[in-house]
Amino acid sequence: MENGVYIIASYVLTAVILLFAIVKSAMDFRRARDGKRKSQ
Amino acid sequence: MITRYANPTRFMKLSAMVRPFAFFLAAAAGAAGLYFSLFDSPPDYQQGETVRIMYIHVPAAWMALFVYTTMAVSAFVGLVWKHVVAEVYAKSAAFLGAAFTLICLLTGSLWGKPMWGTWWVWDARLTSVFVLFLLYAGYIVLVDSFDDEQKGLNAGAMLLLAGAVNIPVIKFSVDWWNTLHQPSSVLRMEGAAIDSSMLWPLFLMAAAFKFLFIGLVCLRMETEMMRRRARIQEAI
Repeated sequence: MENGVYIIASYVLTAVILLFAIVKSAMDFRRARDGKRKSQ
Repeated sequence: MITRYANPTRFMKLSAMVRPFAFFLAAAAGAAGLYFSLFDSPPDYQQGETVRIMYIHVPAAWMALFVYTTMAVSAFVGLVWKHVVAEVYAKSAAFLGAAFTLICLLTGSLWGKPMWGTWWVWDARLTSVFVLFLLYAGYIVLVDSFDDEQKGLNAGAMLLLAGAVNIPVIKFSVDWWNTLHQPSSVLRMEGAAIDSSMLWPLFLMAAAFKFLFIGLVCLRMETEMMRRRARIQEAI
C-alpha cells in the first residue's frame, strides 16, 4: 500500500492517545471513588 | 434546564445513566467507522490510499473545536451564574480537548509529509490549531496553579473566553489567508465536496469520537465532583 507507513502511524498514534485518555480517566475515577469510600 | 442540573447529585445520577450508552455507541460507531474507513471506502483519485488519514484527522479537528467552544460557553455560564456543573465541565473536558487537538496535529503532520512533502508549515490553519493546543495546555496548568481552587477556575474561565477568538480564526483561516492546508470540503455553504462513499465513514468516525467524548467527560466530571466532596468533608 502506498504511503502505508503514514496511514498505520496515524491510526496507531490515535489509538495510543485515546487509550491513554481512557485509562487515565478510568484510573482517576477509581481513585476518587475509593477515596470517597474511605472518607465515609 | 440550567438550574435543574446545577445540582451535582442530580447531575451525577444523569451522568451515570448516560455513560454506558455513550461508550456502547462509541464502540459500535468506531467499529463500523474503522471497517468502512480502512476497507470499504475507495482510494482518492489524487491522494490514493493516503486519504484514509482523513477519517481520523477531520473528526479529531471537529472535536478539538467543538470541545473548546463548549468549554468557553460553560466558562461563561460558570463565571456569570456560578454554576458548579459548568465549572466542573470546563475542567473535565480540557484534557480530552487537548488529546483530540494533539491527534489532529499529529495525524495532520503524518498526512502532510506524503502529500505536501513537509511535516509542518507555519500557515494560518496549522498555526491557529497549534495555538488551540497551547490554550488547552495553558488552561490545564492555570486552573491547578492556585491554592484557592475557585481563583484557578475563574482565571481559567477568563483564558477560555479570551481564547475563544481563535475558534473562528481556525474555521475561516483557509478562506482569509493563502494556506497550504486545503479549504473546507465538508462543512461549507455549497454542501460537501466529497463523495458519499467517503462521507459516511467520516460521519461514523465523527460519531464515534463524539460518543467517546460524552462517555469520558461524564466519567471525568463524576471524578471531579467526588474529589470536591472529599475535600469538603476533609475541611469539615
